[in-house]
Amino acid sequence: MLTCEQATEKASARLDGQLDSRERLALAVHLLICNRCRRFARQLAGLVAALRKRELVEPVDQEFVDRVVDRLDEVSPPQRPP
Amino acid sequence: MLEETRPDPGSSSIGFDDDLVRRLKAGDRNAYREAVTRYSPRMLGAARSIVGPDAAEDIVQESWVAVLTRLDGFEGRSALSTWLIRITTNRAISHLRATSRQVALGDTGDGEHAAPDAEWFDQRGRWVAAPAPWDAGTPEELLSAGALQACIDKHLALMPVNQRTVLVMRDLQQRPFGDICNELGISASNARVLLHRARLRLFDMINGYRKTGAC
Repeated sequence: MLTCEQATEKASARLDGQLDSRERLALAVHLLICNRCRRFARQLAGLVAALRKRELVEPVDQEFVDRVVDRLDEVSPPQRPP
Repeated sequence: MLEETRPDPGSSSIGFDDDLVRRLKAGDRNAYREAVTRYSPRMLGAARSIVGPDAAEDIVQESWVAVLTRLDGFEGRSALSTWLIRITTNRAISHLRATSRQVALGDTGDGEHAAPDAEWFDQRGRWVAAPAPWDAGTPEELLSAGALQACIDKHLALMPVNQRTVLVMRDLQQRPFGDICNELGISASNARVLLHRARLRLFDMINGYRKTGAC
């Protein structure tokens, strides 16, 4: 029988398909009888789902773009476009 | 050489990508400026999430150099953005390895950071107190608050670097577990532990945020 601490680890791994059939069954049995772990598993799944919808984006300014393009020109001089 | 791994059916800009890649391969300088302008924000976001703000711009710049040299090998099986993010992430990981101050990427300990679940369980592994209920009904509601998003960014930056790297690659970039293990040179079991501990940190932060409105 899993402890709650073990069940939280399994609940996290389940989100990534990392449990074998024995682990999945053990977790399912534990969640049937433990409402605290059920709440944790549900909230963790919500958190991870929300993270997976996020896109990490940082603004770049024209100066940065110019710097990168200049660096690329150093590596490979510009060619005439077709 | 960085290889594409699988088709990326989720891309909504494949037509644009195809034309841009064709022009990039032809050496069109305007295409380079367009690509750098369009994709650098995401590359910078990826780099910064792993190495922090100080080294991120240099990593993105050198990633573009790598793109230039590897472009002939890009066959369009994935979206261009996916390929660029992958190159950037690899560069960021290389930077971590080269920085002597960083812990080994496979180290699963919390190091100098407090364990997020240190007081959650008793000696028998049972909850000391029930997890606090979150009143948000959907993931979108959960992260809709701009303040909470800022808290997540803040706590990502505060995490042990190995935990943060696995979380970014898995939950923010949706990289397969096998890719993460291969690129970081860590075992699947270590990756699971690192990811779990990183998720617990954000979980614990949200508990605090829900209670106090601060992080």
